[in-house]
Amino acid sequence: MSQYIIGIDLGTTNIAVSYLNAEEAEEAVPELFAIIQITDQGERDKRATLPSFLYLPDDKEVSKKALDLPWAAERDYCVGAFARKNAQLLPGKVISSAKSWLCAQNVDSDSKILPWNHEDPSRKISPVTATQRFLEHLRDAWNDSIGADNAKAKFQKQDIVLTVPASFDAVARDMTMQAAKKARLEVTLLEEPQAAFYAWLQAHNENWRDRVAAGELILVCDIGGGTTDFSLIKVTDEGGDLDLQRVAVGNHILLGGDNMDLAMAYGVAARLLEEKGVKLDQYQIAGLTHACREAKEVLCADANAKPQKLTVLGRGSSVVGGTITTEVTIEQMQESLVDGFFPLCNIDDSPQQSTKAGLRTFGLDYEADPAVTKHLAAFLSRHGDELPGAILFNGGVTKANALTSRIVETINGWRGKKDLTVLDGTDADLAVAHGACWYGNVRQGNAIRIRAGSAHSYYVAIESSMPAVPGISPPVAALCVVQFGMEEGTSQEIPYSGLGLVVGETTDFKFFGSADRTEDNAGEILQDVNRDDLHNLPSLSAKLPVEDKNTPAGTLVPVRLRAVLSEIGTLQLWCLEEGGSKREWKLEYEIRSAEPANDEDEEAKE
Amino acid sequence: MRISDAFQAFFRVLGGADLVDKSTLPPEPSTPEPDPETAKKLVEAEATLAEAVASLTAAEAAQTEAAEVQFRDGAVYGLLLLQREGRLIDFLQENVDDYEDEQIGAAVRQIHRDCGKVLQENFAMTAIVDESENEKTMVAEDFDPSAIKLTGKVPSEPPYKGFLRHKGWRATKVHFPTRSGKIDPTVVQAAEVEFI
Repeated sequence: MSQYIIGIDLGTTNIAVSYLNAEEAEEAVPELFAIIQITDQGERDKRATLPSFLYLPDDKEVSKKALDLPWAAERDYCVGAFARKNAQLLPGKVISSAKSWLCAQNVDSDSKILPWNHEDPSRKISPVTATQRFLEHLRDAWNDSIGADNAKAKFQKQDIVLTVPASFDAVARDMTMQAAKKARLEVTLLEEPQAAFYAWLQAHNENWRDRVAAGELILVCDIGGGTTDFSLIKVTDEGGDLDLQRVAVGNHILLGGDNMDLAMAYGVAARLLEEKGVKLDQYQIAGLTHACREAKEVLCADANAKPQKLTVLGRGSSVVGGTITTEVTIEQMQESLVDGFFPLCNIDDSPQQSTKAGLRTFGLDYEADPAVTKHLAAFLSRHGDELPGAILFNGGVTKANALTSRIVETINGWRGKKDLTVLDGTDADLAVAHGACWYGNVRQGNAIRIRAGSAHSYYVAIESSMPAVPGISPPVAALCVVQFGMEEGTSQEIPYSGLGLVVGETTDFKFFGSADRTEDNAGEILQDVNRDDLHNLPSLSAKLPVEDKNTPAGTLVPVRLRAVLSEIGTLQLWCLEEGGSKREWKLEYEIRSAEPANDEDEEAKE
Repeated sequence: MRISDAFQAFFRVLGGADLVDKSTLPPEPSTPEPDPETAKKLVEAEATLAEAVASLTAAEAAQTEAAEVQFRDGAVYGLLLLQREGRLIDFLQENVDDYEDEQIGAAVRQIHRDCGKVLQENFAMTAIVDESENEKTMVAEDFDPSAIKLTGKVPSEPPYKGFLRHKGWRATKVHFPTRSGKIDPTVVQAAEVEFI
């Protein structure tokens, strides 16, 4: 057994780590690990969280050795507080939201693309490498303090649970695992909303059964800095005892607290321009955003709060002379945040899709519609008629009463009665890390486990045989190989015969995933693959080997399929030859251009 | 020469000093003249002593200087934190004569809040006597005169009953981040140049 159980909340904007002594796991409360990091040029300090930013300076931008850490000399990059500080001042040199790039549909997460606007392509790194750097930092910071005690306390020797958005599909999960592997860590993945729910279970370890009823549907509503994530958990009655099952997960919604702060700031900036003729620059907008965040917290907490002063100090040394001041009232906050992001809407409303311009720059696929409540309505509508009877909030935004009460009001409106239960007792900022830690304890069989299974269904493309028609490619259908809820760590044969596998020459395998199609069974065929509820996964190019000389390249071998879903939600597909020599071929996602491993760390080599 | 070496040499010579004293006395009849070997040792011992004393002095001087540098850098660093997080130096360096109170007030409110955070996080500022000012208070008999100043008609004997005029401030901790690399310790705020 490891000495500690470590939970890592690898957030889009902030990373938190908590840990438990494994021997006292049942009684102990997870503790937060303060992370040493570069806080400014030539300065390091411990902070409760590690901002998920990575700064890649040019040679001349920082002093020599100014980014060094006790375990790293001559560092030419840094992660954490100083990197975040530079995100707005040096936008081309800082990587942010690396996590959202891991699951971006239109880019290869393993190619060197970040920072997106960096002028020197040789300095760019892949989203996978950025994630690896964050994990390495956690490993080394731990090994410099707690892990320095003895060899058994080393980070890489502990039981580590890493959280990912529930919306992460098999590919994004695999990317995360690859990053962990490159950082020489073995980790278990856990969905963030589940982790938040585990934190709630831990907080009410003795009596959680008194707080929910059999048959109840619980919504976990996780609104972080950059993303929003929904999950549904069903309370079931298993022979008199309550059981928990995660029955649905939402899509990756790129919308969070940062959007709200920016919305307030731009609203105020527009008013300043109109009323006082003052035009703010990028630096002042950053200051204003910060001031808005503080004002938001006060205004959202108290319905009778006085108007909040917003001050942006002068940028130059003339701090008083350059100061711009204004105020924001509770009504203005209500308008820009509550009505802007959480408008009352109907259950059959869905988020507006913008008509995309024919040509646009690549980048993250930000949401066109900022209405969180409409995204929620669409999510609930996709997953049956039943509405949640209880809600667990998580994420920094949900500390704001004004916003959570609007969500409760909206759901009560849909339910037609005012009885939605709000589950409380968790820390909105740290619950995911704590819950991940508690999950390590759950895995040892010490507490109740949420039954989950695959959060997505997966499909493989099958080309039908048809006579050649110039200009028309043969129709493609999607065969379901993993149904929603398939238990992780199991495998199944797909009840579908008549498949032929091309071997001996390079062929493309296309895959699809869906978080919405929860009713399809393995072996079912979808004739139309161009549909909204199906998304393309990166295709796989492979040349399946043939060893015997009697099989010429390009032979069509009759096969059955077997799907293997690993413990952590990654997918393997086996093609088993029918009859004959019973040969087997494996199709698996693997990172293509593995970057050379980082050899500076001596300890990890053991 | 390291300090420990210097000490060793010093004590070795002290042992030898015994010989020096004896050598100044008139020779006792039974005592023979110091042989050339001993005389040579004596000269050597004296030289080592001088060298040891010199290196001790140098080490002490270096230590004092290092402490002074550390003290100076630490003081400037405290200012840096107040400037970086709270813009205090900008504020104090600015000529505020021409500004309206309202304008100054707006800036000060923000500077006050941000500098307050630095005081709490880096110095944990707390009151020395945590009681209401201008109320009666009792000073302990064994009070520390550097922490509590008695004024007015101070009684010559306890009990020291008086009015608390200022509750005092104490930095209960001094937490500075660790610094490394080639950093100019005299910089309180780097000049900024933007390229557009």
